[in-house]
Amino acid sequence: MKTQDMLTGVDERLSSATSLEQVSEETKIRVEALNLWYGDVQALFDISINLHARRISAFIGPSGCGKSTFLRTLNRMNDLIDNVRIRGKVVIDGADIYSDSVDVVSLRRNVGMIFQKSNPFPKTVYENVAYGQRLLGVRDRRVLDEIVERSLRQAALWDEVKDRLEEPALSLSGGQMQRLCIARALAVEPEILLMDEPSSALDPIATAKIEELIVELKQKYTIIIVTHNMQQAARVSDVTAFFYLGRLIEVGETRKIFTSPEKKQTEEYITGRFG
Amino acid sequence: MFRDNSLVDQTAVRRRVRRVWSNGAAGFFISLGGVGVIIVVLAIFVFIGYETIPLWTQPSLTEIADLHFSHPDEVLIMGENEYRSLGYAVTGTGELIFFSPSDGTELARHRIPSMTNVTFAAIDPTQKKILAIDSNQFGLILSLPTTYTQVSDLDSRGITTTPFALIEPFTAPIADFSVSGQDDFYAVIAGDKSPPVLVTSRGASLFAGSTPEIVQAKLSWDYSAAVSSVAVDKFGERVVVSTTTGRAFYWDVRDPTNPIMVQSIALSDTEITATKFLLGGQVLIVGDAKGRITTWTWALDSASVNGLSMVRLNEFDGHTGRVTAIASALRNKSFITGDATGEVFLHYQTGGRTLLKSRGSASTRALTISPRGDGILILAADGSISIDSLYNPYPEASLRTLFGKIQYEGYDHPTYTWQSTGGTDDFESKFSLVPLLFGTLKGALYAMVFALPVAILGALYTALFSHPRIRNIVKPIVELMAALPSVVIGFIAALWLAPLLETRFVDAVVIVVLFPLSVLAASLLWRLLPHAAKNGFLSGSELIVLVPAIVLFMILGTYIAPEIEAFLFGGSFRQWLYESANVAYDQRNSIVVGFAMGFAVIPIIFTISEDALSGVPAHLTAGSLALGATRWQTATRVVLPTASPGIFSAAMVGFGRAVGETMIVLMATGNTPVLDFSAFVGMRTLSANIAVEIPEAPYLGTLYRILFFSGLLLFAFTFLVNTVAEIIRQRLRKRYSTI
Repeated sequence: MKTQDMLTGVDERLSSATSLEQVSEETKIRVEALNLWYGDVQALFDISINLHARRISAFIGPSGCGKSTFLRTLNRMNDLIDNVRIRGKVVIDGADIYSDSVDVVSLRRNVGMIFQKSNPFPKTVYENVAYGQRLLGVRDRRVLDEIVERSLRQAALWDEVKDRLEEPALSLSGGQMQRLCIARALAVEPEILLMDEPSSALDPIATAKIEELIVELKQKYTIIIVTHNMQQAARVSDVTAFFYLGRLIEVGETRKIFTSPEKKQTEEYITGRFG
Repeated sequence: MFRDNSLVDQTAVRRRVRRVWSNGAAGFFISLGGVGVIIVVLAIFVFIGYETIPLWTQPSLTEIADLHFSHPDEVLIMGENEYRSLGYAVTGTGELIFFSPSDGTELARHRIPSMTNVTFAAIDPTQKKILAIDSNQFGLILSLPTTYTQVSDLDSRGITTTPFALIEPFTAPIADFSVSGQDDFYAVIAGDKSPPVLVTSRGASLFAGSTPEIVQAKLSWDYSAAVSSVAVDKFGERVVVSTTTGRAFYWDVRDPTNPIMVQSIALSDTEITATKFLLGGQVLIVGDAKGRITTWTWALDSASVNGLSMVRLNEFDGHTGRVTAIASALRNKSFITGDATGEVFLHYQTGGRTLLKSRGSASTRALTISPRGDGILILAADGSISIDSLYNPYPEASLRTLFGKIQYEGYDHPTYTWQSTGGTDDFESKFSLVPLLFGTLKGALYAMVFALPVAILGALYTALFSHPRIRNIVKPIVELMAALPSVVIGFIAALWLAPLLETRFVDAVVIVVLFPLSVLAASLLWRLLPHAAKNGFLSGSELIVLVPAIVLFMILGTYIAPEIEAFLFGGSFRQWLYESANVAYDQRNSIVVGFAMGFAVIPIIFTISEDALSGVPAHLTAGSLALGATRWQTATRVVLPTASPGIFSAAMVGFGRAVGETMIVLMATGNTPVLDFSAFVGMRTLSANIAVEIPEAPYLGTLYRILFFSGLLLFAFTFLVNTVAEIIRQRLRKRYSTI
């Protein structure tokens, strides 16, 4: 029953994805032989992958497989963790983000991130969205108003919060807060959005809204989403990468991964034999 | 099987009983502890409050007995011994009548030698001598023994007499009389139309012979109005002659042979009917024909002949009729006044309060306060003496004397002064808590000025920027600072820091200025370092550059400071400060206190702030960093506001600690209760004041209770600060709450 649902979902998604497939094959992020250690423990092994612009790439795999760790290497959020060592290359738009000359701050501005747990700041709705722009020194209220509105519209939240902009962000519902976080990320105009299980803490209706939004955002952004929910990966992504025990097992067109995976481990995971 | 089952049941039941029991016991003990703490705090509050309550009790006057003599009209003056066990009255017929003040019974009569028709009698303020004047220009000083408890103590051997002949005849004399020392006395005697005569007996020394020399001098008098009252102080320095027009003349009579009139002043706009010096001789009490009571003191005045002139202090509640009698207390600044309608009022000079009003029927002719201030004798015009007991234990304390601006005796302007005890018994206690409250706040604020930035920035650095390993070392060390006894900090501040700062103040300023500069320089250096060199270090290891830079700049500071001092202040900052700004530099000053007490409150502010900052959820920090914020931006825009409730309460707890801190301020402030904003002078705080004065405060006395009251204030103040802090903290927490 569950598999049936999942597969019909995949089929629906695939039919629409096929038409978009031709839009872009431009490589946005190129990862070469990336290894990562937490102290003495190696968490990622020799990962090489190309991620395409204006596509949704989904990372799936069982807990502890390294997919979130890998996601965080893409905007160097792992720098915040003590004792992390990285070897390998992550090339975004032709530049290695781990080279010494890279400014982490502008990298993160370009590579936005949505977290598993929505994390609005204890400020108003407006100030949350305007936060990134304020960091850049934008003070002009009109410019900020415009950016806030645009970002909230992009995040499909404008109609729900336009009268509550001065209320605390924490008064919003869980789904709204997560979309607010997306709007906040969009407000700094990144090119890439990293999403770390963005809907795992939300109810089905809010999840549906987020997924709808993600597909919508594909028009402009390169989106990488880590998810536990294989149906979600199947529903929204163009490309799926399967991680297992710190290694990238298989990557390919979502349709292909879900219908005829090459590796046995992938198939076993997708069909629910472990994970 | 059945048995087994029941066994299992039994153990289960037993276990459940034990669980219920231990749950109940734990609950009970925890509630006991919590409620106990509240009860103890409340009990302390109640105890302190209880000790202060008597300060606010109303004085009262109760009549004990009413005394009528056989020749009632002729009683002129009366008095009592210290224990209120024996009273005496002088009659116009020249008799000394003894009575028992407890029930009013007459005990005995003595005839005063060589006095038949006494026209005037007065008791000196110490109630040791009686002046009697008879119609034959004859004066007599009766000296009572130092102690007397029964009539036999006052026979012809007990009472010595000193007769003198007056140089001027006075038919119905107006006089005042005071004594100082064993045999010296001063009397000023006037008739209503004749100029006053000053009678002085001074210089009765071992070498001058047994009989003291009596000098009489006329106070030359060309004012047309009739004399209505005279007063002489107990040192024989001042004579005030008042007239029926309200104008009075102040004479400097320090040289009895050559009295100088210093000032002519209108003490009233109508006839002055009674004048009397208050205890200590610094204040003159003036009553007039309209029933008004005012007090006057002598303040420095460079325009005056002898450098002093009379200024007005207070006006008290007025009487209905003309003021007929005034008597001063012997132990404090209380005095009583009586009028022609029989009203008797009790006043207290400091603060200008009328404490008690009692109404009588017949006009008051004379008043005496018993030596201990626990009773009064009222002589009515009908000759009866009313013996009253007076309850007036804490007249010095009132909201006005504790918090108001008071003009004390000898001052020409009102001040806020704390000066609880003086060199003499007749010192006027100055109980203004304002300089102490001010000092408390000043000390705490200076401490906060030093402690807040250091502690909060330190916490910010430790929580958000430093390497966790550094944090794990720094935090316990700072917390260990709190374990340093405050007496040690006070000792170091008073004996090492204060003298050091006195000579090297400019060094301290230079170092304080250089400190941020050194940090800036270090960060610049850090920035200039190549990326490759920095990537070798872990985040937070900037200290490697920062610490040497700070040390270097400090050393540099101590080298350039003397140059700066020489260049800007001519070599001595203290001298420069005094000469150019007229600001005195005390060795124990607010800056020393700021450092020392700041040092004491830093650990608590640091620890609570650090906890608050570390407690900000990591996902908020991550969210901010993921938006391209720098660590600093994240710290100031997300972490600080979110942690603000905690930091606020840290600051408040630190402030509360600084307000209540005793040892450090006791040792390092100089304990001068001055109201001065200058950073270069010290202060006295409420807590230090209690520590300084409670050992010397007489048990259950006014000072003792006022110190308890200041403890209550401190308690209330801390309570208020904590309550306000908690309310604000809750509000902030609501505003910056996180999910």
